[in-house]
Amino acid sequence: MHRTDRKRTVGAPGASGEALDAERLRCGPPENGEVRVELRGPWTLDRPLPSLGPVEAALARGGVERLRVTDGGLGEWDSSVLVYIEDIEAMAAERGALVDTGALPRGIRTLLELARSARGRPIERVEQPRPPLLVRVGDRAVWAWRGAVDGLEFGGEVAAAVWRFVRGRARYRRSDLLLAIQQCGAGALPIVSLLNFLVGLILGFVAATQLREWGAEIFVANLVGIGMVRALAAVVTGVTMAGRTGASFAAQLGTMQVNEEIDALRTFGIPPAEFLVLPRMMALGLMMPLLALYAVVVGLLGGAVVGISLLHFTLAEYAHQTYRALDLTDLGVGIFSAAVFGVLVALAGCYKGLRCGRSAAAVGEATTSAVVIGIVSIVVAMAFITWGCNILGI
Amino acid sequence: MNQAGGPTKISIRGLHKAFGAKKVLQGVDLEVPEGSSTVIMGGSGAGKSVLLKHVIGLLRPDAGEVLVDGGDIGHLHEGDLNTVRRQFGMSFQEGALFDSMSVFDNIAFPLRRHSGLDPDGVAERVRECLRIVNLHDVEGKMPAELSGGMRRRVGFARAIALKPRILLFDEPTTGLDPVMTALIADTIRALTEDETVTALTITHDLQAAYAIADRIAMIFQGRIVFCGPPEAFQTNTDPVVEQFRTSNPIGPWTEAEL
Repeated sequence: MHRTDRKRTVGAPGASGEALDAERLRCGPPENGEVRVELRGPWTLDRPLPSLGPVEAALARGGVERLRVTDGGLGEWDSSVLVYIEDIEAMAAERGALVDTGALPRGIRTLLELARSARGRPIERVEQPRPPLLVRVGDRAVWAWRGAVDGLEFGGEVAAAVWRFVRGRARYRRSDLLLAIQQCGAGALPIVSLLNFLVGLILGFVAATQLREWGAEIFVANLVGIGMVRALAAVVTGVTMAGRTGASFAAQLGTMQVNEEIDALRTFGIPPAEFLVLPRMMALGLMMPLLALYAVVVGLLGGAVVGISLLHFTLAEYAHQTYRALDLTDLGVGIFSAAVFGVLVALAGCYKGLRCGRSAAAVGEATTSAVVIGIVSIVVAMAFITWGCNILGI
Repeated sequence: MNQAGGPTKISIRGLHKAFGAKKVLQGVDLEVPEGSSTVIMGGSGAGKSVLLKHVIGLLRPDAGEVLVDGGDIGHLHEGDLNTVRRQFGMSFQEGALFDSMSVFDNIAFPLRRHSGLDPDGVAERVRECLRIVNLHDVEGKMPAELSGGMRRRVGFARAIALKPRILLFDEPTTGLDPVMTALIADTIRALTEDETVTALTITHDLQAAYAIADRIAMIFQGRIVFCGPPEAFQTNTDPVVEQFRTSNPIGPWTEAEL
């Protein structure tokens, strides 16, 4: 209710404005020192406020002791009425006249009273100065420490759940497990096929253009074979599943958190790590190796397409060279990586879902960060696995 | 009414809780006698739900203690907490039904986990609970097919299914029509007729509170400002209580927000 607003909305009404004013404001002549101001029709902020001119004129004639603001058939109204009455009050105060608002509807009177009770009190603006560097560093450290502790706690809960599962005492619903398996198994085949086929194709094409210069085209089969089997099929599938299934886990659990379903679960004494995380983690941990195996086949096909169409090998030649390049260890490393990625993606999704805030926006954030964490952890895990294999000589 | 007689079932002492910079509870003290029906009243965002969630250990206090039967549950290990929670039943604001399960499975969930009843016994208890909240022919429906009020009543039925000793109800009557509100209020009263059953209900509905409570507590700015029988509540002259009771738009509640 700032007076500057009034200047803008009231200022200089045109001819039509005057006509409109008369419909909404009637200012009677002074009677026994009293002027009646009737408010009528709709008073909403989307139309300009009537001019204060008539009221001012009535006051200017002098001898006015009281302004009686009344309801002369007030239609729809909002805070514009209050702004107007405040302005009348201010004007009347200058001339030493009183304003009587007793005849106005109750809603307007209470709001006016509320506005008056707030007047004169300074508006408290919470201005937070930027804390000094040391404080910020400290805050970050505390925040990071809490995050680490929280992550460890989650890891511990999941480990406890796995232990109970191993002993056959885990509390979860088999139908949840089967549903999760369906979601992250067969449902993912089309997208996994497309991506791995294209990755195999690209790998083959890049290798072909380089190796051709040395007359070593046949090694395209080796490169595509080892690349896909040992690492790329698992990584590409893992990233796909992070975007597809990890995100959906985070959204599912996040929504359950918003609906207080997770609280309800805990009130029944069932740890969410067991009931919700365990089946999802097992589903992805089981299905990822299978998906990766399938992805290997599709990826090799992609490479073979390059070998046959661009380098003019026969399918038999290409397949034989691939077969010679690979051994079971390579496949083992690939499958193992896939299982690890599956567990990581599921954990990232579930963790973010369970730690989700209590709003729809928070579910969105949880989903996004589940995907990011899933992908980052895949790459980091890949680095560790490669390093480990290097040390072990496999 | 035995607010004088019963031993203390739940005792909250100096409970503090903040979320970031927002201090929600600032030293709540409340004693809940066994067998009583206590209603916690307060405006939206006054910290009623947060308080209730501390009683069942869903939230951990920043400071202070929550004693149930004399044992502090604020610092219990999650595993031990799960054992303590067996004597609790809690209903949530929006029902908090498991979306992936039918109404029947929702109510049967705690029964199958903890009651030791055979499938027939479970089915019978589920139907009994649905009858109590006056719901018919909804057993096979999914929560998404129900209205908000029906979901809340199913949540209520699920909370009482195990016949727990301590009942926590978070806004059980909000969004219900007057008849259903009276029904739920009567049910809560009837449950606490049993001297060993203690109920703690949150509401901001005065009529419901009078119908449910033998003790009313009012929470304001993170503290309990009044606690006593409904008659004392109705005659209390504390400006906080008075404004709330008379639905006055002017007073401490609104000043605090200006």
